[in-house]
Amino acid sequence: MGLATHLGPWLLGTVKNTSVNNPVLGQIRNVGPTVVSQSVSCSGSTLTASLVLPAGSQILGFTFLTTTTSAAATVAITVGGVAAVTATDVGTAAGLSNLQIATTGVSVCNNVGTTDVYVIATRSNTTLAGTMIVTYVVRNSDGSTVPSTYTA
Amino acid sequence: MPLATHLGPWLIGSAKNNPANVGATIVTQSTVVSYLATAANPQRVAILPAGSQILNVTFYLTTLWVPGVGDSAAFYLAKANSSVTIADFICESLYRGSSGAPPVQVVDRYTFCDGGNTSEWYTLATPDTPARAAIWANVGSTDLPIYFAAYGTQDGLNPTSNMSSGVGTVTITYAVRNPNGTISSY
Repeated sequence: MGLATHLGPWLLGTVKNTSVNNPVLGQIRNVGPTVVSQSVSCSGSTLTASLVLPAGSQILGFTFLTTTTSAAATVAITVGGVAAVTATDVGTAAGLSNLQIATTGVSVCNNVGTTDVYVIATRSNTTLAGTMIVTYVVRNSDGSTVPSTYTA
Repeated sequence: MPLATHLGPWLIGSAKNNPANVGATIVTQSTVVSYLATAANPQRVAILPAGSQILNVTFYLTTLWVPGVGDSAAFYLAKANSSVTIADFICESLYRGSSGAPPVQVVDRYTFCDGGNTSEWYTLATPDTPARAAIWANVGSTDLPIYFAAYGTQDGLNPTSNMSSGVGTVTITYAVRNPNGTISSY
């Protein structure tokens, strides 16, 4: 079982196009782009760890899986240089932490922009260790998921 | 980098047959919404394929929503009555008491922009009633349209004003399955 790779957004549903005249359910476009995730290990002597998201992506959430605790240790995340998650305590207990999107990060999470972006997690100390997981939607580089020929 | 489309559920795993370990792929539909979507004139934001399972609804608030003076801002998502065509907004009856069965809400009304925040992020909670949970678990054997509306309210329930501004994005995350809700392929 090997890895299979598809480059570009991948739409799933049962109806690709909408009938122009008198559309009824079953004849109306109902496809949506697939959700994927990337993860990166945050450990060792370097406080930062990064991954890259495709242009046009929409971030649905950040999760940090703490494997080595460190009291009051935090993780902050930037997307394309924009603060998406402010320093959040994830070091107190091992396990999953769903990280709250900061108000400054709403727009960049809604659409990361027209070029690929770095997502960088920064730990407050090197004792804390874990994995940052980013869940996102792959879309066109302009954030759209509808072909230009689509008729509403 | 073109869009590629697959019609029907897409299963991923390493074993297709007994004991199968494949799972249905998760997808989203996302729509920009504005204050023009009112309780009397809601905006359709998605058409979910029959048999889908809703996993989450996310709201990206990107421009301040402004209700009437003294009101709180609220919005809701609702499914249309299956007996009504998509051109008719049955959601209207929920608030005006007109004839016709009210729609079943898929998420609760949700107040936001308290305190004058201009930018907030919300991931809506899971459904809090059995009726809503049933819709999330399986949208039904026919495609399901989802509608969005925003309004000002005094009691968190009844609309008392329309918004004068506001822009955001509603994203619905769901699993594509067979029309009967199964993902069995054997």
